[in-house]
Amino acid sequence: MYDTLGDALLRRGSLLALCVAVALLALIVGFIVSESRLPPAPGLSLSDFLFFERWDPSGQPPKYGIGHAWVATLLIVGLAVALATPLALVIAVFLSEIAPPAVRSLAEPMLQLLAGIPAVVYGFVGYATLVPLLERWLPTGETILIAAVVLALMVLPFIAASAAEALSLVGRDLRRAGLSLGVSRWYAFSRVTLRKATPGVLAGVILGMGRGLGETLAVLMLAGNSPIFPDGLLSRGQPLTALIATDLGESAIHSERYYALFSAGLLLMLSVIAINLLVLQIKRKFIGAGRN
Amino acid sequence: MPDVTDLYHLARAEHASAFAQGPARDRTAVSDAIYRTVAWIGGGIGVLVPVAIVIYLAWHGGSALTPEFLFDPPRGSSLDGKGGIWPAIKGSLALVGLGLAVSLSLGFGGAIYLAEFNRSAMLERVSRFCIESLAAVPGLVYSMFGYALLVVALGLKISLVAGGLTLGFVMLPLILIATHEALRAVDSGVREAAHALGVSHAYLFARVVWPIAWPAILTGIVLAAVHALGAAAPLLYTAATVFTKDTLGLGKPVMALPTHLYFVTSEIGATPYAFGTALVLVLLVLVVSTVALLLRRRKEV
Repeated sequence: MYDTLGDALLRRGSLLALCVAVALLALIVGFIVSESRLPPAPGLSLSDFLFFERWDPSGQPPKYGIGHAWVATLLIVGLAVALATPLALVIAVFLSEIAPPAVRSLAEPMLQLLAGIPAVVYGFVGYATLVPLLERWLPTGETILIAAVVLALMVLPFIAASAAEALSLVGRDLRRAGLSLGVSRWYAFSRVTLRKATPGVLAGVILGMGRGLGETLAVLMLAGNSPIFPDGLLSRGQPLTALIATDLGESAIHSERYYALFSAGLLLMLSVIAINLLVLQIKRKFIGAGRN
Repeated sequence: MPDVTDLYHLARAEHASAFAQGPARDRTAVSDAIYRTVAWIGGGIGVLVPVAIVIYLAWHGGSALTPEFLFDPPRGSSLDGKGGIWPAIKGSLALVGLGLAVSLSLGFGGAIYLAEFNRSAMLERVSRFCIESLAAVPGLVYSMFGYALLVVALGLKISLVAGGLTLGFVMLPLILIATHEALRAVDSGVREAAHALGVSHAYLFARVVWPIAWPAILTGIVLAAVHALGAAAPLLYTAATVFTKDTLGLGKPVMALPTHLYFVTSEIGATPYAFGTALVLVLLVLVVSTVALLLRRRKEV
């Protein structure tokens, strides 16, 4: 079978590397699972840990509840995606049907650059611009709202790129057939192109949510980082990632607090992997349907 | 896909008003003009945001960029916004370099097996799912993993080597996916022609397939490295320290640009020193990604 020693080496070596790469996922999941306890402390029920208890690890007795973090995460990510999606759709329309090729070949790399700017820089720019702006009217500018606005900019290129790809895939033909009937562009877009492209656009939106869920630095710097249940968009909050990033350094290894943080990390990781699975499923179905 | 005639009759029957003549046609023209305008505005925003961020940082941080700022360590005994950021630049480059050593060997290997040797569709699907899940795992989870495994269980402490390995894990799926896609895109006719000449698989791969795929692979590597360069979360609990005047060492904690920006901002706020740090980080990222995009464009032409 093998012509040379080189063949055998390449084959065996590359198989080994693939196994290590795949095993890394198992190792990461395994390690996060092995370091987490659900519930993390004796006498704490799972529902209290997840939803009802406050987060006060240095109190007497210490309290471990990550409900406030879930609420903040969902508020920030939900608002960010809601803000980013309409603009992303407009950009996608621009890229897929309006922009002349020269403009398009400039705009696409710019979007990639937008996606490439590090999270900590977004956090810093938000901190230097939007936070003081909001502080003209409010006691604190570090709020759920500001974190969501900046996060919207961060997920924008992902949603826009996915949506543009989906809209182009639906294709010129269908749109032109619509337009040739004399309908307006908006009519052709909303009744034909968008309907066909919905799964692809949806995949992009969900992908953006996944990005947003795991985003750490920007929300850590902008959301206020107070372990309280947020009571609105102008309240401070502490999303899951910010909670972990803030508290892990202060918790003794294998303490209840450490287990609580790794349990939070486990939930975060599982939701991101579930989202990834969902996107793959949508894409497979969509591309499968597109070929027929 | 619906037939055009079907579409026409369907639309005509259901939405007769959309096909009206006269004033309705003018309405269509107005609607199209609005549609185009909104699209141009949206596209303009998408292009202007990154430009605006860079200009804003350059405006406030440009004056901070002096040779001392770039090539001196911070002064004093804590972060007080004096001195330079050289240890952070050095630390970032060392971390990314170490990470590349890990991720290139594993990423190339895995991709080569999938593209060149694997015949099982099942194995390809399972591995791609695992790798794509790895790519989606947040940087913070990598940090927790690196902390629990490398720093605590293996006793590497918070150090350059623990952070470099963690960054390697972050880059691995990105590099593997890019390499796999690039190898897969090589025309199968080229492979068949070489096979027909009777060369070994290893020779075919090294002399024919790899050179063709290389520009795309290189682009993927550069983009992964840029991502790692700007990533603060994976380093938080594996490598980063707020302040050090020590030389680089595998077993010692290091400063890195993204974590430095975070620490500086939380200690002393948005000072010129912080703006300068942010500007250096963004310029590094932008210059390197522009190179990567140009590489890709040259390949496409």
